[in-house]
Amino acid sequence: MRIGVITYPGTLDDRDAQRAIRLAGGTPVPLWHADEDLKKVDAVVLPGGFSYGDYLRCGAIAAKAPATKEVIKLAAQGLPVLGICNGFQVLVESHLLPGGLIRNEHQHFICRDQKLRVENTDTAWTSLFEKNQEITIPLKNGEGGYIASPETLKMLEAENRVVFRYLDLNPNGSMNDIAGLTNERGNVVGLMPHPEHAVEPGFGPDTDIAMRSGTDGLKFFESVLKVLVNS
Amino acid sequence: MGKLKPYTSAAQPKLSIPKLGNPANRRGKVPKIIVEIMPKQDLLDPQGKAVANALHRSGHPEIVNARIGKRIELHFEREITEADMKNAEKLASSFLSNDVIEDVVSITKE
Repeated sequence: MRIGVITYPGTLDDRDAQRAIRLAGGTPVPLWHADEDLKKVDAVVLPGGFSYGDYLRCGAIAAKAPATKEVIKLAAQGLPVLGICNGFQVLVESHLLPGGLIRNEHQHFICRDQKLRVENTDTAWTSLFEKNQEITIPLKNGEGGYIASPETLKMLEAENRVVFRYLDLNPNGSMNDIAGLTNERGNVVGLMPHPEHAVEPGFGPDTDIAMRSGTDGLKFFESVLKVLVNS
Repeated sequence: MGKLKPYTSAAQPKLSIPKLGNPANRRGKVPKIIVEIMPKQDLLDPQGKAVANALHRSGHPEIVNARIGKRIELHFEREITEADMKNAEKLASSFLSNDVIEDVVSITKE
């Protein structure tokens, strides 16, 4: 299965996302933001970073890139799309997911291992998790405070579209402790924390068993591969 | 696990650089549409808060708050038409601002 990873000018985590896909058993396909051609990939990851230097608003200019326009088109047809951090911001700016992301409460850039609860396991990217499973993956962002109108929040909660919620502590002031969302169909998922940084023993978050042994992020990529194989 | 392939972006940027017109015109007086955008009132504006704090420290307690927004100039090489203004309104609300977090406070011609 071929999973595309889009590189925008200023993207940082494209290589890590490609590596995560490979470790999960898929074939990563590097995609360039200026290409309309998504090379017939089976799924797409919008990685983290600072596309276009966060000019205008985080993700706003990337949302207009030729590759993103193609993603928007194919997402409507069911293409699995995962937006991580800046990728989540691109999804929000592309209106594939509702709401917005603003500067962290207390105005600090945060980098820490973050505990999350997986609340929706019906999405393309979370099918291998158990409902309400607690996972730990790194979080690193300056503008990760999720906001939405009261009506939107109500709709998201009622439709079970909050996929990940911050546990123990809300790091950035996100409304309802929201760390990640999905669309109505469950093929588009966006989250602020970074699953691609927790895929390989020795390089992930600390666990009770051993230092840096956390690989909770791998399941995101294994989930989509399983969904693709079964479809 | 296989060895990672070196990164190659098959088709390197074939971005077309938009023509920005005569550089002399860009600096001088040209017809402009000016779009002003502010963060929503009830949202935290960290830049404004930091500036307000600095003003207090430097002896201006009468300034109770400061907020920072954006001024975006759209330049033209011809006279601005009604259609251009309509178009700017559309761009201001769809691309230049995000209505979840910002308000367009004015769109003016200069």
